[in-house]
Amino acid sequence: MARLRWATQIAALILVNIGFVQILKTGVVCPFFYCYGCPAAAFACPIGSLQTFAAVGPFPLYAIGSLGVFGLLAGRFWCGWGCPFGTIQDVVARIRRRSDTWALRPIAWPKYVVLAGTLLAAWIAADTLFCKVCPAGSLFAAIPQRFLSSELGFGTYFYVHIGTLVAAVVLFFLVARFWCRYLCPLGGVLGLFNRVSILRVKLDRAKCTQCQKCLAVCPTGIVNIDDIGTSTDCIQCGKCIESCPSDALHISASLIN
Amino acid sequence: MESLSHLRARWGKLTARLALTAVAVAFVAAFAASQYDLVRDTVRFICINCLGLGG
Repeated sequence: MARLRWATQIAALILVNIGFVQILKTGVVCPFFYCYGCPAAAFACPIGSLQTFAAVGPFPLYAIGSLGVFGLLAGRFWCGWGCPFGTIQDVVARIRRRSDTWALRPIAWPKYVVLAGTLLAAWIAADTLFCKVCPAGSLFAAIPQRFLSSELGFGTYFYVHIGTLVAAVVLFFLVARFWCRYLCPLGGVLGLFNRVSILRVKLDRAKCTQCQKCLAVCPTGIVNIDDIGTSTDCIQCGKCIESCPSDALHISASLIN
Repeated sequence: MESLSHLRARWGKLTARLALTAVAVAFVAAFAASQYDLVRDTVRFICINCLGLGG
């Protein structure tokens, strides 16, 4: 399963970058936290789109509807199996080869504070302010754009971008999936759908022996077995399934269950 | 054999999922025509200022 997950993550990274062909730059909102300022971006960042509408446009029903469809299909499966920023965090976790330096419990509310603050700031300032500090934008857009267009000068926000990116990477080394756990506004939205999504990790309580091996490997630090697959913090990565010795966990794709 | 309450819960979830999916798809369908181009413009015309480039 780990190989399949890496394969889908790499496929997603390629897919969101097919916009190097101009005609493939679409107005489709993607289910990942990925910057549409990337020179090769093919899809729109959902948080960027929501901000744009909050700043200048009508109520973002198209973007909200898109997120609803993605959420109902797979909840935070997108975070665990496709998100390019999540992939970067997984790569960092693989490099450090040890458990978290800080043993922090997952907390849901900061993600919603970031989401509300982002939209409110965009509405008040009529500008996409979050984009100016977003670490994903730093990595996928600001740095590549600077390399591609050397005639562009460095503005204040470029240094802010570098600062947030460095801070984010340091935090990734200390705590696995730190961004997904505590800060990702998109993860907060998709997490709301974890309980009702068609595709999700499911626990068979009859088979569970309470060995808690699943909790030990969880990259988002979930502490309660019943929260696996349903909590807003669960990114549905399936590492718990790999660790389960009694096959009590599986990926469920059902409208009814 | 499944109890009646269990069956009700399962069908309740199915109904909720279908209703939510219908609403979400309807949003996309109804507003894609008017809002798709604005979203596409954000992908095609990069906000250099947002990236802190351009002086």
